[in-house]
Amino acid sequence: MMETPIRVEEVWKSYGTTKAVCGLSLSVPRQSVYGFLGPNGAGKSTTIRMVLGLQRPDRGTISLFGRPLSGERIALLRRIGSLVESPSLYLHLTGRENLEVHRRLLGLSKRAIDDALEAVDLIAVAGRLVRNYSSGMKQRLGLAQALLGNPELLLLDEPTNGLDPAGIHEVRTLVRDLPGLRGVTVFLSSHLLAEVEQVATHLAIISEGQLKFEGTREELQTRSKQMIVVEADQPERAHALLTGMGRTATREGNRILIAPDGECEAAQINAMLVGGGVAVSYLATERVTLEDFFLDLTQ
Amino acid sequence: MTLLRVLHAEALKMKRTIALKMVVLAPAVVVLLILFAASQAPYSTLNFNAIGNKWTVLASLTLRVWAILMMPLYITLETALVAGLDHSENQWKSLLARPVPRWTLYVAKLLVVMAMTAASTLLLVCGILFDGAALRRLQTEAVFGFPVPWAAILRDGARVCGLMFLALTIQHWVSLRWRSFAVAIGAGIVATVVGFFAVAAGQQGDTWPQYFPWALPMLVVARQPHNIEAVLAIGGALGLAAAAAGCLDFCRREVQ
Repeated sequence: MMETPIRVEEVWKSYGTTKAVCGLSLSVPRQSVYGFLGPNGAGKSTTIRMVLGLQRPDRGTISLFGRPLSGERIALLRRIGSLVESPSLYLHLTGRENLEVHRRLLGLSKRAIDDALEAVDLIAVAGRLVRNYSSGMKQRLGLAQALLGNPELLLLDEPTNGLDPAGIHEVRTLVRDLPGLRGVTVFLSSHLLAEVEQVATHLAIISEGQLKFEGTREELQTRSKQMIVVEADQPERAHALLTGMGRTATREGNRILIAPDGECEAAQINAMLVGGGVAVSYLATERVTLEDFFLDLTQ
Repeated sequence: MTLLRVLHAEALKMKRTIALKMVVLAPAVVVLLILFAASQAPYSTLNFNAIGNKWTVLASLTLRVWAILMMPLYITLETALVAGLDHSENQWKSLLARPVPRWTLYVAKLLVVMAMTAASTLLLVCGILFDGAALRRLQTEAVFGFPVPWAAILRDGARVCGLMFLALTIQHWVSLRWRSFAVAIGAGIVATVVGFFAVAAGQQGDTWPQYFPWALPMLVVARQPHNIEAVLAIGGALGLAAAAAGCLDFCRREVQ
């Protein structure tokens, strides 16, 4: 049976009175690129910290590769590489020396450093002090640190922060290729849908510590496909009529967005609104982008 | 085995750091200061003090400055600098996500600071020989004869180091507990100043102030009490307890 690299079940975490994560459950399939999306402050970094054992959940369980994290933290961390937010680097050491610190901690062979440096294309500048690196180079060195020892699971929190477009493209390509080339499962957190959408095979969206969506990219695209848009002279009344009929409708200025619920809907909605004394000036079925869907879930 | 790996990694982190340069700089400052003061004949303590072996007097003078002034400030700075390496850039989220027990990171850092303190004290003891040789050339009044009482000088140096262990473990915990460099340095300076007063009170005859952790090393050079071995043992035990408590706190703490 294939072990699930990450399984989070009903996890809660609070800081004082602030609830950071509320009953979150996730299941990350093996060799997937799992995009973990949410706006800033949604609870992404807290979740990643809990998965790495840096913080303890107040309630709920986290298991990695089918084993509980709380009982076998050290053995499980041996199979994981991570880059949480900005890379943690010693600026007074060279790139190679930075990796050497982690190589010693992991007890790996010297060859592991060259492998990691090659993977992020930093061999040429490995002897330079990190304080002289550009932010893109630092980010790549952080990735090399995470890749040391060929981990089975890679947790990357906002890995393209501070990168120029070329750097973003490189990281994206690397992340996309990792499952195929190295058999790695990638857990990729970001607040930018566009960044994750292009590489993720699976996605989860959280907002205010709660899971709003989890599934494959195709499922997300299916769910976010269409929306009926209405413009009317009395948007408030139109909105009240629609919600009174049990429809899921949101108001944006004089526009009302209605989730489709069956066949021939536009005509029925038009008839119902006109019958209710509302003059409809625009009615159409529009394709809603993933971005709109993401915003709709998280706002 | 894991502790050795972590210690190996900690040693590499020290490369090119001020903390490592301080190992040589701190004793060098004291050695040169003593050389300057002692060479100012006829006002030098060495010339006034007609009784006893000149080497013993020079060693006592050097260890006194080291124990009361330089060493408390030195351990304050070293513990803060060593902890600062991992507080900066929030290294903890990367280090503590590695498959090594947390206690090994705490203990390895403590061992690094202890090793640096011991190395500095050893260099200071070598500096006493340098000062003696230099004074022998500079002034004829001070006769530094042979043999040099190495055993006694080394024993006192080791005791000063040993009695600083308790203060060092407390300072190590403070430096790792609070991310702010100012907190670690502030705590060390306050403790050093309190240590001055404790030493002064001890010299007035008060018994208990001299057992203040930052004042303990002065017991060796100022009073040489008969119970010094017991003080060393109790100080060592309390130091181990402080290290264990600090380690426990470090292991339980969550990384933000």
